[in-house]
Amino acid sequence: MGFIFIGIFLLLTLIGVPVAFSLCLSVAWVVVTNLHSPLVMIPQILTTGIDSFSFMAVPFFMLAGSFMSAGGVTKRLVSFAQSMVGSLWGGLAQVVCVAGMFFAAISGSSAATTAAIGSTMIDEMEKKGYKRDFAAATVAAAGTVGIVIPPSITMVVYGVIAGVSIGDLFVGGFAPGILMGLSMMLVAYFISRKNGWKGEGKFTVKSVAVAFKDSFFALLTPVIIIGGIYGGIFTPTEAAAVAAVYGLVVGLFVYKELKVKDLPELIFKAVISTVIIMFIVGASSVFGWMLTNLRIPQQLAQAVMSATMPPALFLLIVNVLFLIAGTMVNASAAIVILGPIVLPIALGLGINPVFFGVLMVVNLAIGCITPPVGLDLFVASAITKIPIEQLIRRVMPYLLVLLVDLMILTYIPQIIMFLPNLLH
Amino acid sequence: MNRLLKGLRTVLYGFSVTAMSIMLAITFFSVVSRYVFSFTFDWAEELSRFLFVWSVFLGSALIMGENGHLAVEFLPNMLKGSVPGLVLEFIVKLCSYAFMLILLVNGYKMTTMMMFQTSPGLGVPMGIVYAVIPVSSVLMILYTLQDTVLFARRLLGRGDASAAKGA
Repeated sequence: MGFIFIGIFLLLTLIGVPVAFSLCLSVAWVVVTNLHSPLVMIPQILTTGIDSFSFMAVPFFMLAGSFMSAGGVTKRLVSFAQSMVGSLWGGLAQVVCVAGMFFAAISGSSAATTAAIGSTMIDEMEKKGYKRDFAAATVAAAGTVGIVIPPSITMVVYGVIAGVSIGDLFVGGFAPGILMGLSMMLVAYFISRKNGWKGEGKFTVKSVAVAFKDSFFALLTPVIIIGGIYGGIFTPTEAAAVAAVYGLVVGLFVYKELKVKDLPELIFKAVISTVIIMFIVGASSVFGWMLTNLRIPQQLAQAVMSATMPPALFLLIVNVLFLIAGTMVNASAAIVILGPIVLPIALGLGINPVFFGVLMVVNLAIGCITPPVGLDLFVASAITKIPIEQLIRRVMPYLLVLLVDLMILTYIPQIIMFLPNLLH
Repeated sequence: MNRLLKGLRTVLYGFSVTAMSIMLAITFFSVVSRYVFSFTFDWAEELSRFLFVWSVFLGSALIMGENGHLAVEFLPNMLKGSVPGLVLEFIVKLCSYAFMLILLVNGYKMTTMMMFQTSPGLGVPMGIVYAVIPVSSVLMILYTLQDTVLFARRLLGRGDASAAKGA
């Protein structure tokens, strides 16, 4: 029964039925053919799955990011990054990596990070003599840290479904995000050196200080969010709302580039992105209900225990599984569907759920640029009109170094857990 | 049909933007009021949760008219324009209808069942909250119908084209 159930879901999803529909239809199939529980359970669980105050952090973090980027924050973060690393080899590529990390700290999604940095930097890099496909690949790769460095919508979703502290996940994401950013800078350095792409300007403490002052209000966002949550001042959802209002105020009154007439469209876009994620979240709770009914997670966990699989091997399998999933659906969707299946096993093997969550998020982030179907590759290809094959070749070095990072993070758990442990 | 959907989009657009703004305002001001006036409204969280549920369901109809729900587009893109591609598209449409009908029928059942239960904070019947399910199912079906009409036209147009080629 379990095989047919999961089989129907996979089949429908792979032929292109919307993921949320496939989740519910596979459940409906089991209900109609086998169980005697009524179909009314489907809309009911779908609704209760969505009806949660914690999930409202999702649209609020999206709003915070989009208010800020429309408010002129991106430009300032780019200048700040420019003042720090612009003079190195491959200056603009380094700027993309650093600005990506900064932007990740005010936005909760990889796509938003890629879009914000890409819209300003790809043309700029081409103008300065960088190859356009290299520029596009760098932006796509730099965007991956969007969901790793807090705030992170994917971490919010994981935290709610796994019952893990969102604050712990957030601080757990700092070190891996920075590790990923730094290793991509290293790749950019060597590629640029080989191609003779020099940086420009001179590094001076004064220009860094000036640029820092200019982007100070943007850089305060993560401090407010993390400080607020850890200081016990507000819940993650409230932190997200405060960040959104803060972004609104900064955009409207400090940087003054956000226009009141643009607000409805920005809010509307946030609603659309939220709906895409939340409808799948709801549908996954229907799917999860049936998984539990059929005792699939328990059986899997037992099978893994009795096979005495070492945790290291299990983590490797999970890494591969999530990389593949991350190439096909967005990170939040992958985590709500697969999370309930693999988490019980991880807990059974004594793996810390915060560590496990952050690791899955890193995996999904890398999945965004993993060929042949990584989502960010398609986004970058659509913006730049560069064929996907060409982009894949250019993104390969970044992908390889990120996979090395993934291995480091998997087998040295202290990197992720150091900060959360420190704060407890 | 097109005019109806266009009007519908305006209404849903207005609703979702307003609802999101209210949710944000409620959540933000409950933080403020907690610290400044050490006072919170019981109904505030519940109202914003209900608005959230409504936005997600109505939004799920709305996005059918935008880029659609998240789907794995790999196979459809690969088969685009071919006969197997059309068959696949047809099957995907059938599945979508099946899902929406399940949602419509059972959402309606649930709405009527829940009319007698009131919410703890606002005191409104839960049926009103759940009513958004059948409503949005109908709207989703409307969007899919429009899509199906376009699909059928394409199919017929293609039939003509290949017939002409044969002649």
